[in-house]
Amino acid sequence: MIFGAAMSGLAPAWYYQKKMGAAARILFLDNHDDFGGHAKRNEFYLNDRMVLSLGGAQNLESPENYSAVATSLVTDIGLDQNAFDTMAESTPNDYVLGGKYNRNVGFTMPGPECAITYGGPWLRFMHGRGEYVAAVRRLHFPKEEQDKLISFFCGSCWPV
Amino acid sequence: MDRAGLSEQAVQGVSVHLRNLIGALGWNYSVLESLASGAPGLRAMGWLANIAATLATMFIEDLAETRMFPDGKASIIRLLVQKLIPEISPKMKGFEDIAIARFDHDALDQENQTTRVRLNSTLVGVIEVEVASS
Repeated sequence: MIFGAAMSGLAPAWYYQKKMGAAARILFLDNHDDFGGHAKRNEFYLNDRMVLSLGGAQNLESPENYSAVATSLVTDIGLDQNAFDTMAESTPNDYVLGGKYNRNVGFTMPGPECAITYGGPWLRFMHGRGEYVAAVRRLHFPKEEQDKLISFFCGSCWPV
Repeated sequence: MDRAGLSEQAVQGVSVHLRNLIGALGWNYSVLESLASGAPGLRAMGWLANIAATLATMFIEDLAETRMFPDGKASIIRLLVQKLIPEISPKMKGFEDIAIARFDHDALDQENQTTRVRLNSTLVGVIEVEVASS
């Protein structure tokens, strides 16, 4: 009997079944209306067309660095190198959540009336790369604060 | 705010990096964790952190190891559940159609299955009992 049908419950169940055989009896109890816990699916329909997004945990980071035990599980469910390569090829080049961290991502700050989201490759800008000075100058922020932020990104404000 | 003189608003803005990567704001990280995450401001901390910042920038530029399904890690869960209970989506092929495969939740908890998932079940206690063999 396993309490919770999310990753930390499903994975040991899989190892248990592999060890004990297909006849092993496993019962999950979960208080939610779906399995998966934080790895939640966001699925709805618009004019009979499926619209799909993530509702929680997002991506797999560096799966080639997984332990042998973890690798055996992802391989068992069909995620081998070929699968990862295919997924990489299918990921749009501007998809930040898919690992394209140098692409455009929103930078949101409070504005005079409401929050304002500024587009641009902000993860790069924040490391003093690219046109970060111009990007900071666009922020609805006093010039004095902009100056501090520019110094912070490029490293001139805090000499050691 | 103390050392770099940034306003609270500015700190909230730059914390989006850590929030994206790990899910919590910058206040929750140690210096070492921030270094390891390539947090903004590394360049402002001297030569050692400058090296870390350069590595972080490379990390951002070349991070090709991240993989993601359209519904995030939910696809990992669904692949695993389908392995444990194939009846939930018998026609599913694998990773290539897991995102759009229809799952029949009625198949989760059937008496004839060795593996069963019972949803909407709040657990308040467990007692082990002897079951008389018939």
